[in-house]
Amino acid sequence: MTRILISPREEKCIGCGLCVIKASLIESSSINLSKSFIRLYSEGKKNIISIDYGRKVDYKEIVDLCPQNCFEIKEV
Amino acid sequence: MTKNSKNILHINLTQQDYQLKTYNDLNPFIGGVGLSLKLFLDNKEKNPVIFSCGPLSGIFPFASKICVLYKDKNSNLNEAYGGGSFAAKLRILGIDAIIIYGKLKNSNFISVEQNKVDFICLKDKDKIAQFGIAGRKSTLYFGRRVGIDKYFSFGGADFNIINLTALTISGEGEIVIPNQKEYWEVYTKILEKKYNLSVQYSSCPSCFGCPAGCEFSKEGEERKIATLPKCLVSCQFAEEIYKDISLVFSCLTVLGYKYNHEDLENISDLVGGLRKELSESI
Repeated sequence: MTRILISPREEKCIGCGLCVIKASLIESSSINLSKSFIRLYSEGKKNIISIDYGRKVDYKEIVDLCPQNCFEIKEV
Repeated sequence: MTKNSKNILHINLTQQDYQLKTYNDLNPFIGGVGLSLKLFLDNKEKNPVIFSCGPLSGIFPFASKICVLYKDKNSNLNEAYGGGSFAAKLRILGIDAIIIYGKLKNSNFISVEQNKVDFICLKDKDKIAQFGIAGRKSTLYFGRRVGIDKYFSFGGADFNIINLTALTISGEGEIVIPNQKEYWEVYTKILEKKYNLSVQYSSCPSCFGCPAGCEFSKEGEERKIATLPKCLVSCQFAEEIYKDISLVFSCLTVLGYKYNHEDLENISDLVGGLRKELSESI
């Protein structure tokens, strides 16, 4: 079984970007939006969460950090 | 970018020219309103509009506002604060403030990316979205009110830049965190201070780095708050958190800044002196 991070409640996203920052820190020990495995596309009230599945992404700390509970880890 | 200097982007609209300058003597002003007042004083003959972020913008929670300093149509010096992600993207780009002056003639849109500023003539405002790097950009829209990222604003601030329709920045860059473990401890400590916020958590669009999603995020800031949070450009509702000098000292120290407690304690007097000097000279 492979575990992956998914965002089944993306519509609840408020665009705070905490997940983006954490994903960048996990990946690069820096805040760098291009190295983050989570991308956030925001316009107005709409936010789209994009996860790069080319890397390890099943980090529970990202699930726990989201204030709107957008994420979960799924076994596929 | 070093932690002991400030990077200021000068944009000359008349000449359609720009310069990114590094200053080693601006650190005492921290950022936000302190940095903007000093820059305005040094460039007052240009009558600039100055946008500034703070050293914690985009790096710590509840510190995501962008400060604008400008002279209004009655020649009064005003400051205003807006939300969204403009401050964070500016900080990630490695820029502490943007000074804009002059009048645009042959273009109406500016795109700022790493190491370049493009002056563009756009006939169709809908094409603004085509510029900048998706997922890493933030846009100011100039009009009757100045909007940020199609949701946030500077409230009723009445500044404008002649002939400029929009300004997009792309937050392409890297903020190296020297000690990630210590950084995350301070970060988590601030997140746990949500009960010190003077606003309720909600589910409205939030400023970058702020998990509150409060119902006031859309509006500009009008409440008078302490000088230190204004120099950090924190949210007005996080004033209690960011006027705690010990905590701010911890935030700055884990990022590698060389401020000491006295610098933070004296910022109010320093900014007060700048305000006085400016009021006497403009």
